[in-house]
Amino acid sequence: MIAIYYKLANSYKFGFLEMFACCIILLIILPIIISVKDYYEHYSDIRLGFLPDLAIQISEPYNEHRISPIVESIKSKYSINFSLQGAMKNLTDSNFKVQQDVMNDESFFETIHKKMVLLGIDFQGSPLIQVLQDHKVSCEVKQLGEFGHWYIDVYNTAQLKTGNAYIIDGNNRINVRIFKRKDYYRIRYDETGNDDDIPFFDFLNHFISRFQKTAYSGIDADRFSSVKSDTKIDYFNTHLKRQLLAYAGLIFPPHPQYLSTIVSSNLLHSINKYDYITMANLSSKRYNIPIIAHDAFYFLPEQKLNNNLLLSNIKQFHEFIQDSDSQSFIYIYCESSYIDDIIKDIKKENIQATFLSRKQIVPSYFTEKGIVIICISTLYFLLILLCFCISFIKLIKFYSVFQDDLTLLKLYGYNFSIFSVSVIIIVLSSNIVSAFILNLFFNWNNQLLNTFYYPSIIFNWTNYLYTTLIFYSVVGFNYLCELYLLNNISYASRGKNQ
Amino acid sequence: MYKDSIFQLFLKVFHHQFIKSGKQWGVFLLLICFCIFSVLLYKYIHGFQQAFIERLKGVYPVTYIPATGKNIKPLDKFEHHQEFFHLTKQFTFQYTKQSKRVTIIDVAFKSSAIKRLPSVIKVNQRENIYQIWMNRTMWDIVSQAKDFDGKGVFLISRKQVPIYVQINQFDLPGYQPWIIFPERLFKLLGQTMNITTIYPKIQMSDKKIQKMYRSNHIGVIRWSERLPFFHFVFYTLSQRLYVTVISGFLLLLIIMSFSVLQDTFDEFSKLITFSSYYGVKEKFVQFFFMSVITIYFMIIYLSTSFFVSYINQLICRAVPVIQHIALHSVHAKYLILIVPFLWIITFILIHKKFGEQLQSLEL
Repeated sequence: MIAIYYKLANSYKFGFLEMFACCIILLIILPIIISVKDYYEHYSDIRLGFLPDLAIQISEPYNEHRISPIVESIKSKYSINFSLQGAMKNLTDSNFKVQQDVMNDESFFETIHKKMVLLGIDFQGSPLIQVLQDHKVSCEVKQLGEFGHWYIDVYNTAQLKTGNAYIIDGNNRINVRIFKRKDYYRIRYDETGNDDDIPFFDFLNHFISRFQKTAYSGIDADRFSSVKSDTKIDYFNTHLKRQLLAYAGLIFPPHPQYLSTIVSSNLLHSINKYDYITMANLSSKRYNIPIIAHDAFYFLPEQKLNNNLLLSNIKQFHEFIQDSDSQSFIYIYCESSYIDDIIKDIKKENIQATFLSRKQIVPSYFTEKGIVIICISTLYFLLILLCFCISFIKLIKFYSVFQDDLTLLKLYGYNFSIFSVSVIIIVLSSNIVSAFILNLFFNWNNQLLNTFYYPSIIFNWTNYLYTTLIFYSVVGFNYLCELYLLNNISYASRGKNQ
Repeated sequence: MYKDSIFQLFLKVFHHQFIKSGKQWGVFLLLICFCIFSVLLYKYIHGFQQAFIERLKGVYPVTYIPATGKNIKPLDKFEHHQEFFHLTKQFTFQYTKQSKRVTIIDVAFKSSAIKRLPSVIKVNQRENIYQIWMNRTMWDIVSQAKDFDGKGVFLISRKQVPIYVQINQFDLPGYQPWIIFPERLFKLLGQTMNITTIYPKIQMSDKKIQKMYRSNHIGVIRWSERLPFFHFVFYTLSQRLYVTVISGFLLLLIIMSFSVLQDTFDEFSKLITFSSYYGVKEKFVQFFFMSVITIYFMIIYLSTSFFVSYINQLICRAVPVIQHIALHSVHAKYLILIVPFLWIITFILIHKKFGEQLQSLEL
């Protein structure tokens, strides 16, 4: 019997091989076509930077105990990528003065923007880092910066002492030195200029990402053209370093007498020659605030809404703005499909809030996204339809030939759907091969993204499963065809006997 | 008379093989559908690349030597042109002759002869050297000021003379501010060139140019090596997705075509048997078979071309936004290679499978 099966399989080997190859190709192409949507969204997220998918402005002063539960409940219900919360203050008729060029006599350049909004972000991340000296110690970061070398100042802890130590970041141990200062300890890292620095840079990236995800920082790599470089260290030095230092300056303000800020690029980009750490003065009818602008960030609707944004830390915000009529805000970064539900949920909380979605702020982005999604979906379904038609015709053709073999097998006592079983084996094995290749493909792409400190793209296995299910539905069809043929043969043979 | 009858017989054989039943029509129509689908897919993916990242090509000099030495002689089939290219330069100007100087940092500069301007730039006044081209990002920065007259600004020459220039806009992906200068204006401002751009006399890929120059020990930089990180990463990713999907489609097409060929070979075996009775020569059978196969696939190709352009027009009418993507044409000249390719493949397969049978016709 096995010999007959073998002979039979051998006579159809080209057909099986063809099916196997087609299944693998389709099981790779179809999920990749669908994943273009994820790639596009990833690209757009980074391109739109700080702009949230949903901006919620609550008309009451910021109270962490009131806002945090709302954010937590949203996080628990929906798959949120990131969120920011804090206080905001509209500064009408305000001036933003920047000292332009000390060497030049034109000492001040003045811009007046009627709508300037100061955000005080309540960064939710943990400021604790793990340091290993004689034993593991948790230290709270006071300040982080770079001046000739990297330094992390931590609050005084009796368990530290001057000397060598390690910072623990996951499985990495980063060799640092510790120095005692007056009322704190300084952790110092000297760059080597080669790949040995990568663990420390990764640590910095992980640490700052607890507070602000770099994808949503708005400090855009596009502003810094690449020099001849394509290594992780080059990318860190050219781009990420500035981004991390800017946010570190915001989270851990270096000078309490100045309000540490990152300002929207409209304010800095056109007037500041050096584009980093700039002293400026923010004045309005009621305030005169000396500020340090660590960097500029890209904020797409800045011109459209005539709204210049200044980001600061909530603690400093309250120190400089002692105003009862400030408001609160929640910025949500998530899939756009959740937005309507989130708005409904927040409205239920009995909160007076205004909602502004990306769709309202940048409608052109949504038109573009809509076109991309329609194109991809059409492509996907057309391809599926086409494959269905092709496999249908192929099967009819196949069974017209296979019927004779089936009759022969039936005479030998064959009684189960051999072809369907073979197809299941082919689809299953092509599933394994294609999943392996897709995994390799996504890892390869993520490796590139990670080299440049961009977040990874997670392959959507659910989509892959749906695609596979479509293939199995074809197998179901096969089975029915074969069952029908087997029954026909039985009736035919009964007829002959009679 | 004799030839007519064998010809008719042959036609009957192929009629039986290709277009007799509904199934065969189904295979034929599905092959056309699949080809239309693949070509449209290729066209639109290629179009997206052209419309977005590839538009930076030319704004970033396609291939250049990062020096202007006079002793760098062009290789055969190439021309050299000295240009200015800097990615992070300060741009200083005045809105009026009396106003303060304004400096914008991190501006990308490129000088270009009018006839060699990047394709994204449309020139209205070719003879006017007092004009510059700015992308939207740069325009947004410059046009904010109250002093701006909406038309132009004063550039300051090396001798500190303000020169009024008209500003034109062009679209470019990304947020990097860009200014393109006419070469003569750039020289008038007293600036010097810093790169030698290589222009091939015949169409040639940038990789090939780089390879040819490298073999002559001249370092050449390609445009994609100077893209900002953001563009570089997404350019590479889109290339990977593009190559994978298109290769997949090509493989599927090859498998499907091979499957059609395989089916046809069974019929060919019968044809040889018939031919031996009629005393038809080997070459005639072979030529006839190859011609029919080629005609079959050529009909598929021609129908595909016709329907692709028709569907494309419909799509463009329905979604005008993507017109600039759809307009990029597919290189038909490459597809025409299908004829000799099919001839060769069929010839090889026939001889491998039916070599002995065919030889028997000669006996």
